[in-house]
Amino acid sequence: MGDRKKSPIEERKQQYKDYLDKTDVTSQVREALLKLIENQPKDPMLFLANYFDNISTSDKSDKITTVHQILQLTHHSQQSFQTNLIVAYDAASLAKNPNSKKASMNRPGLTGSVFEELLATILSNVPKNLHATLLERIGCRASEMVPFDVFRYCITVCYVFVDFVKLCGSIFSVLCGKQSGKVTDKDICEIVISSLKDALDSLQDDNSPCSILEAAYVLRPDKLASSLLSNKSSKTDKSTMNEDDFMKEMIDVFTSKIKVLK
Amino acid sequence: MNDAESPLSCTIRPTKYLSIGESMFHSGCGVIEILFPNMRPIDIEKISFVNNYTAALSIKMKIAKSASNQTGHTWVTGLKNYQLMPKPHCETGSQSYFHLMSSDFCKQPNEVCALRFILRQPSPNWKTFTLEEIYVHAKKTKDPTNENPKWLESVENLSASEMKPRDQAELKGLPDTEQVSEKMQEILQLAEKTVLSAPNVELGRFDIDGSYEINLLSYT
Repeated sequence: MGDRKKSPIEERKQQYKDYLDKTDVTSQVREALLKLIENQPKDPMLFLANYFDNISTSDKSDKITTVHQILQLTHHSQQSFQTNLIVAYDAASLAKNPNSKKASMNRPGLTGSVFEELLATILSNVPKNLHATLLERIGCRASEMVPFDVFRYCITVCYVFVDFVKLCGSIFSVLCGKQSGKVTDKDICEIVISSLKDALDSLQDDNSPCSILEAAYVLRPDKLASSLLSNKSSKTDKSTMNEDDFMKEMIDVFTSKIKVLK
Repeated sequence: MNDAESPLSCTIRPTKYLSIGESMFHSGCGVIEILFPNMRPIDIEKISFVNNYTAALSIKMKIAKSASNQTGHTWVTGLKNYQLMPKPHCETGSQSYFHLMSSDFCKQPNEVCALRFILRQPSPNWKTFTLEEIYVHAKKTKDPTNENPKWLESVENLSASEMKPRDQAELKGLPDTEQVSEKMQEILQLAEKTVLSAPNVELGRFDIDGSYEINLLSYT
């Protein structure tokens, strides 16, 4: 008995299957879908577009870019960010050249220099003068090896910082209000900065719900409004503050809460 | 009256009928002994039970002598001849529910280690008699940790006609405090996140006062 003669439809199906197998597309698409499910972004199409964009350029990219792409997959508030941190740490800790006989080339682990480069990439959108204080606190020296816990902490702080800078910017524009130009009353800014300081001070280390409520209570609109009102009636001169100074002071207050690495 | 606390789970020994020697006669007297959990002394608020043909009840309490210097305990009469059935030969009150408050007792039932209920039923009509579903409720202790935090009580008192400060501020041309407050509270969340994610592992730096200068290292 010879082979059963295949119908044209079956032949075509086989052709398609061979094509897919040859180009290895199914596994890549499956990977993409898995990542999509893991990260559950608000805009799935945009996420997929960025993912495939990164795939096509990944042959030429170096370690830092790959790790950065992994970390960008989801926002730091999502649960899947923690998984991505683990994957990113593994990718960043790969030895430079596993087959080399030189000891410095084939040891796995995240060195301080790679870590510093990674931080710089994450903070690339923030002006350099603003993130100097942050790097003082969470930077690592070139010779130090970075364990996972420290990596997790510093990367989370970085992304939190990026969000913080954005929020400060929008607060400043609200404070400018209807005034033209990018300046606002110095006293108003001072009041806002000092109320943030008070709130952060009342946020104790024990993370009890009571202390969080207390801190939020300090920042309620009525309290802000009463301090602004009482200040308005007493001031005489009108000094202004520009965005840079405002941002610097807010950042100083915020970074004082960040633990220095030991 | 505040709601009853859940009753203490005590060990209740079954009713023991008194007799003399080995002769079987109905003495008309029974004893129920009640022990408290963990043998610690209790302040009694209320005792509730269901009668089952008992005519009269006396209660003896074992008071711990912790107040005075003496060790040991004494048996004190808490209740003397409390009538449960007005006519022992008849049915009235034979199956009623009773609640005894601490005010009914002759002596304050504080620091009680054990209780003895002495049941009397002089009528020959009822050969067996007992008390059922005996529950002892202890006095509620005030919870000291339930106080409100100070800042919660310091809310400003505005009269109905006065405007809220944030509306007043808006009228005077000040920036929108609700928006600012909202964003500040988001910043608070971010700060909270940094505190929460603090690392548990140290890098192992050997810095002295923030710098790592070999020349500063001492020999000791």
